[in-house]
Amino acid sequence: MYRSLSTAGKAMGAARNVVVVDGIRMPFAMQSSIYNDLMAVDLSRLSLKALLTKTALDPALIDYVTIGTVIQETKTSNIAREATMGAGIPLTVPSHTITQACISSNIAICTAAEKIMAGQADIIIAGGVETFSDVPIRFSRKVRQKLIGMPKAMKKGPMGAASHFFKGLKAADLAPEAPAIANFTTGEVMGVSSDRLSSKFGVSRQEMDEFTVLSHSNAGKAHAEGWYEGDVMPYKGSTEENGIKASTMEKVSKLKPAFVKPYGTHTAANSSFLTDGASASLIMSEEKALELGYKPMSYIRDWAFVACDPFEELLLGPTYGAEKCLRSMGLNMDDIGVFEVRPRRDASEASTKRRNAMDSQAFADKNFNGKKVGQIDRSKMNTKGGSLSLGHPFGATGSRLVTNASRRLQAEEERFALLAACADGGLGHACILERYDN
Amino acid sequence: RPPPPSPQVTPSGVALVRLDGPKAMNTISFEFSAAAKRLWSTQIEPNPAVKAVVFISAKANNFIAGADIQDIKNVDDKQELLPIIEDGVDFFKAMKAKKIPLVAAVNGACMGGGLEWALWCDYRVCSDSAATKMSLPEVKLGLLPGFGGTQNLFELVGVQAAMDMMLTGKDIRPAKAKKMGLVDIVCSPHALEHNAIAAAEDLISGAVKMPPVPRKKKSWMNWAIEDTPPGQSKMWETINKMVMKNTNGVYPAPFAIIDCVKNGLKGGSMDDRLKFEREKFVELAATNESASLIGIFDGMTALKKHSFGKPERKTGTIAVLGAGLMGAGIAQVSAEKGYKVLLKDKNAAGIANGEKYIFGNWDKKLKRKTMTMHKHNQNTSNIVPLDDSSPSWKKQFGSADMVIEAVFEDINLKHAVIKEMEEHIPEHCVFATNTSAIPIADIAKGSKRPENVVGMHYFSPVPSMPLLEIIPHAGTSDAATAAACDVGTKQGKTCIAVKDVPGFYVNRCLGPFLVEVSALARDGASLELLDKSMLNFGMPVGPVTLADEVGIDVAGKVAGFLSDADMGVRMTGGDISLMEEMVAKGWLGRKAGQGFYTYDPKNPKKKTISAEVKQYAKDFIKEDKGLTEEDVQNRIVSRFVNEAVMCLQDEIIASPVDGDIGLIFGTGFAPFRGGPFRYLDTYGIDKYVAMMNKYAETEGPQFEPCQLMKDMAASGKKFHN
Repeated sequence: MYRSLSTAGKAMGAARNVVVVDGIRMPFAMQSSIYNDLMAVDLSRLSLKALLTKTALDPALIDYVTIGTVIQETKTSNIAREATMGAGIPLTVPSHTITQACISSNIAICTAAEKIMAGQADIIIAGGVETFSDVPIRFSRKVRQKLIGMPKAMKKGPMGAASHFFKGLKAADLAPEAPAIANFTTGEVMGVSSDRLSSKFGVSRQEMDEFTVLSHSNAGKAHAEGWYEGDVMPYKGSTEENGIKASTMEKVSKLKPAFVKPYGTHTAANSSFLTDGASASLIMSEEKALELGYKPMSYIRDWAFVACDPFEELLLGPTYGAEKCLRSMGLNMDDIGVFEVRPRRDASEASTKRRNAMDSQAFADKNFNGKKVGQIDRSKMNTKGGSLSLGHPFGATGSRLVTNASRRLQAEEERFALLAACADGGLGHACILERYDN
Repeated sequence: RPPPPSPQVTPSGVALVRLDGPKAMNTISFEFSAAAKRLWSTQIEPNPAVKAVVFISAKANNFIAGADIQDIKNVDDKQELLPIIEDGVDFFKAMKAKKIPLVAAVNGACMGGGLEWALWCDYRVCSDSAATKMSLPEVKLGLLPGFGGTQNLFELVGVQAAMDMMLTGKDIRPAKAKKMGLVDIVCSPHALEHNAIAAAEDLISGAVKMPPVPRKKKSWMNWAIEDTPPGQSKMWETINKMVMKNTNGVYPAPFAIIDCVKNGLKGGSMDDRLKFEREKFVELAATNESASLIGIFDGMTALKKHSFGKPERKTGTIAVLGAGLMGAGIAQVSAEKGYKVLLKDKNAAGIANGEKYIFGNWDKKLKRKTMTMHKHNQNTSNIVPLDDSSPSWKKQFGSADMVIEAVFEDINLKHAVIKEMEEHIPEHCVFATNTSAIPIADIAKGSKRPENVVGMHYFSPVPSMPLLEIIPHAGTSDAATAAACDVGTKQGKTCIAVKDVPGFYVNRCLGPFLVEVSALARDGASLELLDKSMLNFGMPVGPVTLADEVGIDVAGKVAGFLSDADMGVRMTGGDISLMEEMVAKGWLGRKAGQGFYTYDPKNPKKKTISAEVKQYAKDFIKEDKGLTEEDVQNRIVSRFVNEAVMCLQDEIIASPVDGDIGLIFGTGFAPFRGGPFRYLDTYGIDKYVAMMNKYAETEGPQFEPCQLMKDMAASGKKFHN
């Protein structure tokens, strides 16, 4: 059951319909592999260019570009702007960078939708990018302070500068500082949070490992069957995504826990690997898309960004988000035909746990006045592989989910797709797409 | 004549002299220098209020682009140039004699005489505009900087940097100019005048010291090289080596420049040094080499305009079919010039190869800092990679203004390609074919719109070969030909229009050349002798090396194809089985690691002739005629040159200028000889005809000079007046 389409969406009633016209990604690849020599901005630029190549869109028509990213290269703080200029899009097209941990390109796409609904734009490219082949590794704070004070110290001559630099400096201060993988506020690594929640909702190692093997096999099959042709754009002539491995339960179950030792559930196999990648979605107002002769893939109907207590419920945001979207559209879990769920590092566990939470009566009683969000039909979830196998470049995954869910709606002739994803800091996102009938 | 208008003088006593010649570009013509002299003697010299002078251009994008070459060309007896140059130098000396600060404010091109003018000043300010470049390019015209440039430059920037500038003629951009001390301040074009005046005021007040204060401290390394005897001797040795390597020693100008600088370093009086310089200049101006190079320069300028009228619309998007070496090269030069390029190949792997070639070339430029990262990104973005599986290629081709096909040479394939394309390209779209072997008219038969079909024959490797043959067939519209010329020119190519005949112009001339090489090999000329003789004639590479570079199979194919064409006796006399057998052995040239030469896979510069190939060449000899270097040169060059004249006779090319430029840019025909036609003029056409007749008697009718050559010899006329 859902409300009539004319009132679907936000409270804006007569708001313009927003459609997903197309989307692409550069092959997602393991850290320090094919993109080893590129900066994130290069990857993003290539994805924008690839989207223009695929859609034959005249770049001069673009109103706005927004790119999500997580780990920032300080040289390209507004990476969206640099990538836009580098992609041959007219210099007069504005662009901004947006960051919201692992749902950065989700927020980029939803920001695009909001701009279109508000009548501020008709054609927006929204995407995301992440590289782990180059991260800002810094001097320690102590050394940074010394270096910043150096010009002043130099006035006392080289000896003065030397004494300024070495005074009170310990050998340990010279150690480089890599970007933290622990949350700034909670100090917790996501693998640990996830492990804690898997205990809470009773997700076993066995279940997680099974999901891992399935994910790789789904992804491998989707590639082999050509599902991703035209969706993954070639880099140096290849569309291979090198994180996908054919694996067996036997092999996967042998791995030792990676985070909580010795009896934790999360391993190198059932957590997603560090991934480089970029993606881009072409979002338009419905009338503009039709005017330009495009055949949109889906409507973006509703979305929610929620936050929950990161100390206790770090990965449960999507459950809250999904409930909110479903409720707002008057839909039930049964109305959803396509699920694209993107948890974080520990893909299998979180999705399983989230599924459990969605189907937990106790959880529902406590949070949703007793109405369960409902059980996700696993046969409809991530059937073309997920972040666990394809990889999860933090900033770029959201756009991949939107593209893949939209394409699945068309191919599987389903009406609604539910996207759900969580992000560091207790954030969560859910989004509902509706198939576009051409 | 009315006195020149008085220049604006600021309250602080800075006179602003705005250089404003009659044309869009300021050049130092006889008239321009006379006007400058008048201005100086009537307005500046006697005016006590003037305490400093700023020279600045009234033009939007140039300071002074150089001396007026036409003026120099038009003086028949070059000795007459001596007093004229002296007059110019006297003007600069008079400027200096007033002993007030002189400041040059440079925006845009500041070349040749223009830079020499700036060098006479005490201080130089230049703008950071992309149009600003400084150079002394006289060497490219076989001349030297004659207004004191050879003396003033090294004192400012050091001998090494000065020699580099004067011997290569290269452009110096603002940042580099500042770094090397060529200019004192770089600023925004909008602030140029303000900065120049401020500098002049500081020079008046003494806040900034007047020369000979060195403005830039020499590094100890440069001091060791330039100012110590052992360093100097090593330096000149290196410079000489570089000149020999780049010119094979056949151009007199670099050596004259070296002489001038060495003479200057001896430290005689400035007057003597300047006299020495201008005497050398006049000597150079009288050489055939200089006349030839000026001829090429003029020819290039003339060929930028063509007679096909305006194209119907501006070309914005070019589709290139085939991402092989040719297609990728064409895509590269198009994307660099801002065209959107739809680069299409059969599959993603083909495209990836093409992109690898293009991006590799741009990466090199990025590394050498001749291309910025942003320009690199923009170029990259201009290339839209498409293959048969790309969902959008048909839609993309709907916006193409021109298609350039570089697919395999097969008439049926080309017809299929045209047919397929015409389903998607708009009606106005020009269809250009990069064939080298198939008549354009035959290709046009496969088109719904034959009037849009034109030949664009590029030379490989496209990014570095400067020539493009444009071949309209009988039914090609002028608009299509004009579009092809416009695109080619914008791609940085010099375009010549050629009639639709087998081999067009350049390959047609190369046909008899290749046959003769095989004839000479048969008559006992060793491979080494063949290469050495032609190098000494002034070709950039010998014929054996050339065949290896283009590929023995390709050379063999061209020769075979032309033997079967309409050239009759002119393709006889040799035996191209020399190449055919090599193809059978897999000796395909450099690309195979083995051609006439054996290439070292580790060191691309190293090549040797193996015993096997030596034996092969020896077995090929039928009769050792004891050929000399002169025999080799005469026999090869005459076949080549005769064919060029034959092309003019048959109106395959429009003029001797086209013919000269075509062979110089297409084959590297000794530039200092000015191309085949200028070479004939210099040699004496009658003498050349006699020489060819002699070979015709001994070697056969393939050496018989063509009718036009005989007519020219009889009438005593020259191809170039």
